Amino acid sequence: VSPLDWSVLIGALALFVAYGLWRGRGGHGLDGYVLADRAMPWPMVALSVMATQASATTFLATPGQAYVDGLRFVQFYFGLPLAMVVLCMTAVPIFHRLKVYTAYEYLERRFDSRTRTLAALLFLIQRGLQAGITIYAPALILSVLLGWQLHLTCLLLGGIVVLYTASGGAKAVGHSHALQFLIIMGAMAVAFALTVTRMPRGVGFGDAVSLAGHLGKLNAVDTHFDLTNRYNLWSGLIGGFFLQMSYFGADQSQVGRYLAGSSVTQSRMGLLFNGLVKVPMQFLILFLGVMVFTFHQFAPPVLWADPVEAAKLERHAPVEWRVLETRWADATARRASAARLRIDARHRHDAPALAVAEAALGRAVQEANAVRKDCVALIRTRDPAANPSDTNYLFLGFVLGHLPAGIIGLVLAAIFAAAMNSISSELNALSSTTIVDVVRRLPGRPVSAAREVAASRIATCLWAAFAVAFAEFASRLGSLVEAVNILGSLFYGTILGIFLTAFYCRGVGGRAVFLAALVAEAAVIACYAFTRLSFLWYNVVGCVLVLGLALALQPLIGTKEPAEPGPARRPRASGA
Amino acid sequence: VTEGERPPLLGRWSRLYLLVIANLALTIALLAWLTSSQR
Repeated sequence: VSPLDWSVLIGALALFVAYGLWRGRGGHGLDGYVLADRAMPWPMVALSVMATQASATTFLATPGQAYVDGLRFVQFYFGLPLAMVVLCMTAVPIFHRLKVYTAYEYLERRFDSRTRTLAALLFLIQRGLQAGITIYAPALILSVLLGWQLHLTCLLLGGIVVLYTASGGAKAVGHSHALQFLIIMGAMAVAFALTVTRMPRGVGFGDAVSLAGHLGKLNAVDTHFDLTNRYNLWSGLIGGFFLQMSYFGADQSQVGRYLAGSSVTQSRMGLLFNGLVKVPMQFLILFLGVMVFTFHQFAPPVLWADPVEAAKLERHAPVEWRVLETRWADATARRASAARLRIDARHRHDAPALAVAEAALGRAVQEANAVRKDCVALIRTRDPAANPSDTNYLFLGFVLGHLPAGIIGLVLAAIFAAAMNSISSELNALSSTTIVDVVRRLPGRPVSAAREVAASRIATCLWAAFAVAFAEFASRLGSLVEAVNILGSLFYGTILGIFLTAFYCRGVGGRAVFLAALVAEAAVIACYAFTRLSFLWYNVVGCVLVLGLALALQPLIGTKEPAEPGPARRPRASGA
Repeated sequence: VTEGERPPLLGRWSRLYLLVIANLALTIALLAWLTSSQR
């Protein structure tokens, strides 16, 4: 990393903080602090929603995922546009009409305080832990690749975000999102253009795409239905729909973003814009990973992209490591030459030569894959707890090794920005839910708006401290990271079921839905413990069970009609 | 409350919703074509 890159990175970080502080300045009531005075126009809502969802892991791991696994991860997002449409028809007008601060506040008006408390607590537990992982994941990768101490990167990420999030609240968060997301998109576009133009002489864009397709990396759509397959058309459309409904409809870190819209129209337009561009955007990020993969067919990468793990192998198993490196150099050299022969044959439309080149390429790729497999085996033998995947390091390794000075700093700034975007939304949502759904309901005298904002600022700082502490703790418990990620899928379906019952089953009361939620949650945990069902389907199971059980239980144990009706009793929105 | 507002594009919300769904269908069709054409 050159001095120019450092200048770009430090300059960008200073700009992010200064801009956040500037946009968040001025006095606030709770409306201003939690929902940016409900004054955001739709482009800001759209950018804020997209920036919240796209964390640093999106930009670090997604290209790496495509490098290893091809484009099939794009199917994960197929349910998102459908979820945006359904939420625009239901949740957005209801939340706006009731002028709620948080999604959980609505549950008390519709059911009872017990259901509100259950949903708010599930959110605080899940999102509080997730915030730690949102800091930990990029902090770990940046610390490894930049050679910094992990606790320094954790503190740096948490510290710079809390500066403007605590002082300016949702206004600072929303405006920072817009600036940072535009910079991220710009940096990714530059990285994409440079990756394509840095292919060896004689290898055009069409050649690169053809080679990627031949090597199985353009596997964007799999129509085969398989409940244990994580990414196919059906899990993406159905499971992904339920997941995105839960995330955007019942997770305050997203609900807070679109409730900041100045009207139903502005919130709806923001969500629909997200529905239009999200899948193409994810496709392009994955496609960048595929292009990096193709680039490395000609310019062989290092055997193992995680430098810390590679250094450990070199130190503790030098003989085996040297053998693997020699085999890797041989296999990748043969692979590069076969890939070149294939392109030449393709240019000449020489079918026999193409067949010979493809056979040679197939053998070289197989050998290279075998070397990587042996490397994983060596890592596992040496340390069974070590991470046997270097996917997260592939893209940044390419950036650091092959992109020019200045651009490296820009991409690093974009990754910091992406991390800051997600963390700021999470801290703002955690603080809002803590104050609105917990502290405000405690018995005692009502307090002034100024004291509520001061309490929100303190809550933001405390949640940031918790997230940084958990990030440091997570570094010592590798498997916990995975467990925390699964935690989200375990609760999302149930929370969504509660909300859908509220929206659509107007005869169901609080007692039935509360009991249904408890039973559904137990069933989802049983699915996780005793079946091989892919995690996207947990959202479907939890949601459908809550809906079905609540409807079945209502005639048996139900109370009287709910206080606040769902959308069916309102006059229809014009044209909706 | 502004529930009755018309969208700034296409005049009716239902048309905008249809646009989002049509865009998804077209994207999936293009990606499916990409998948099959490069096999």
